[in-house]
Amino acid sequence: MRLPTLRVDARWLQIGFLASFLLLGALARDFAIGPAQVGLCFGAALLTQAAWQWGLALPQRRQWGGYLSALVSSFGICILVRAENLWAHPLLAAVAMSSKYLLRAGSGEVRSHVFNPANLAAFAAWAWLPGAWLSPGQWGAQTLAALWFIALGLVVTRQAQRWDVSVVFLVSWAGLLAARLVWLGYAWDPGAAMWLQQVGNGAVLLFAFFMISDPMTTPQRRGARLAYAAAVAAGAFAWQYLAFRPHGLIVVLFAASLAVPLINRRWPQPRFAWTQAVHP
Amino acid sequence: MRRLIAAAFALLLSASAQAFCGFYAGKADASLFNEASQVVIARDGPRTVLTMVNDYKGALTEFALVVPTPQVIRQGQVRVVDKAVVEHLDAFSAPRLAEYHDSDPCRFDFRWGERQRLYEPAYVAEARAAPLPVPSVVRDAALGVTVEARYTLEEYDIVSLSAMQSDGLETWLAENGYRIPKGASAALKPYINQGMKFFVAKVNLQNQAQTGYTMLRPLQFAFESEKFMLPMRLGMLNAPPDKPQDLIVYVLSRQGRVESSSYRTARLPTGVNLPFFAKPVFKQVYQDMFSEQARREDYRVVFTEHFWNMGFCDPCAAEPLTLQDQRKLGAFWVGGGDPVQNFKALVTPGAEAGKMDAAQMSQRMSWDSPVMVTRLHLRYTANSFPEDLMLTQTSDQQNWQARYVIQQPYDGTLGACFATLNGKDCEALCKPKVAGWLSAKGMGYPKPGVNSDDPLVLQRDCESVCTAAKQAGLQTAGNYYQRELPERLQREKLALAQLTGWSLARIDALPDAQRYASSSPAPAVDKPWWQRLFGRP
Repeated sequence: MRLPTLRVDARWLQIGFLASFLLLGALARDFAIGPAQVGLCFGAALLTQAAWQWGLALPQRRQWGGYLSALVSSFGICILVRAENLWAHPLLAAVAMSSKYLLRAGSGEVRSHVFNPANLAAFAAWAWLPGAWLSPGQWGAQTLAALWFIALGLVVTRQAQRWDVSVVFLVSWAGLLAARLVWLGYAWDPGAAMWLQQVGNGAVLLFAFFMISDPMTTPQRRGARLAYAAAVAAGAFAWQYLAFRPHGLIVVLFAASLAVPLINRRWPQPRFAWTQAVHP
Repeated sequence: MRRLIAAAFALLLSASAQAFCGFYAGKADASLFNEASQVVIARDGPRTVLTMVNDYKGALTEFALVVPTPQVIRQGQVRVVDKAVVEHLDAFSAPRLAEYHDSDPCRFDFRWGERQRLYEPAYVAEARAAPLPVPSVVRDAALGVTVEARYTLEEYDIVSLSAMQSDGLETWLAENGYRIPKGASAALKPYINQGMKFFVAKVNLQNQAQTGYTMLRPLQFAFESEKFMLPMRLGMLNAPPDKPQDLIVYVLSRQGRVESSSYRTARLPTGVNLPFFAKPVFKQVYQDMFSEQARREDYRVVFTEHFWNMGFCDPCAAEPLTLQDQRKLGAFWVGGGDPVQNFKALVTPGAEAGKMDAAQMSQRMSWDSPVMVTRLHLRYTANSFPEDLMLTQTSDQQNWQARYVIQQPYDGTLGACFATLNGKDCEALCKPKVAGWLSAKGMGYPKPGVNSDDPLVLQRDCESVCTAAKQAGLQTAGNYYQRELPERLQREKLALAQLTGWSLARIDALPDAQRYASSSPAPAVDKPWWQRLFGRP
């Protein structure tokens, strides 16, 4: 099936979607984030991006593309990270944007930053920052339908890009959770509701569509990329349900990102560019 | 034959968390809507101490508790806790009503040629919300497959079981005189498949008589497990799928606030001003408010009722727990001694905890105690909470409490104010002031409104200031009794209606609700009434 594709930078769609997420959370889900934290986060991300673009005298320093990424990352950080102070969000935003220039790997056409900025920020918030934390339960279970529809709409519009990663990840994750419930011997009731509750978590959907699908930090070769998505799901499952540790998706994606440069070297493919023409 | 009750079973599940869940028998089908299971979890890293509270009031021969545990709970890992300590924790963390009193609006703020005085701070008092009643759990009996341990601890006979198959466990329980709810086998199976064991307790009547307690005391286990959860699903066994049950979880933690990772954790509305006449019915207000909020969230939310450092409180519904009492509830990392050794003493028979530091013990209030208490309140149904309660510790250390405010109106009337002010004799009041001012000649005193040393001129000036002060006092009181107070009460009534879902008619029917509704007669239309009273513009 061939769907019409939009010739706009896909990040505009991301920004619209993420903004709606943040608004929904702040207005309907009492997200514990203040306007000052949001403002500082965005300000720090944009300023850091500008500083790197101009400081390194990059050829594209006069273009807006980098700032779109900064906006996407800022939304991600505001949606995921909670803090009891005003400095955590801007600090994380600055670190996340800087990581795009400081933590790079690969050579030639596959050279890219290593970590998805929002993933790095979320991991750092949980693992290293005092007074900052993640709230995976913050979405509740009832936003499920809405989030799914929006996410699917986004998948459609982005069908030429990385939808396959999202789908493979979700199928793997949902399959592992279902297998666990079956193995534990849950009956259909409450097993089915339990499964829906686990899979339909807003944090899972956000991860699937906005983090692991990042074309810059996933393997460039399609086969490797899909295997990577499945491996992240398996790793996160083991972390969360076998080792009983928190925040499996964030932690395992962070660790797995380190392997992406090696995968790209073994199975090279020209790297993705946000502004390239989208070929249906 | 022992009977399991829904509430008991609920606890059973909830206790299990990692481990345990208790279920005990309580009153069958008592109105759970108003009863809550209570669990205290003290946890640092994987080291966990879990206390299950039971306010079982039925026949002791009918009491039984079944709790899934992550490991076999042996003698030395279990103890009996003084229930008063948990009640103290409940009191410390209970949603509270803070009460303030309006000062007398009928002020005679008359100063002439003298230094100003500061107003006295308003008196503040607090009243504690009565804690919600604790549900009791009853259970009939449990049966097991392998008896891993069997011992008597104080008033309890305890058996630790491991099972290979849920139907085997169900059979064992039945053969040993426990009647378990229908569907228990299916509910037990996932716990067995996770490798959990089962802790079963019943009352040893002989020992119970010797303890002298009329109530059963809480049981406490210590264990290590990475899993941070409460197996609350087990407790839903014999509840109708849509019947709400309550669970209150207190977590003593070291890093910060605890929230659910599997469900949304929300805060209750707090800091809301309620009408003064709601004070005598605050308990009802809180219960209805909680019901209303839970209903609006479709029973799918974990509510935070309190999160506070154990070192202090403001306002205090009850004093913070002493370090001894915190240790009794399992906070093994406070009070001195090596925490690892302290914990070891909780799981090993005969092991000694580290010595408690007497200096630390005597200190009660401190601003940064290493123990924080999170109080979570769930009202759930089997349908709305399909999976067990998974918990996670955040590094949030911002104190927060569910607190409601009563601002007591001043107990006076405009008429009384007029009488008081009218009784002030300005001429007599001014004479000593004028004389005093003349003799001090203004050293450090503000100048009066006239530039003169003539006592008559000064006296006249002072009297006019005095009269103005009377007018101002009466005006303030008039505003207060006739405008501010009725308007404020109206706002507070609306807030109360919004919180609880009560109708305004119901609120207006509360005792005292009309006290300020139609107070003094309306002021004169043509000119302000106080001007007429004093005959001055």
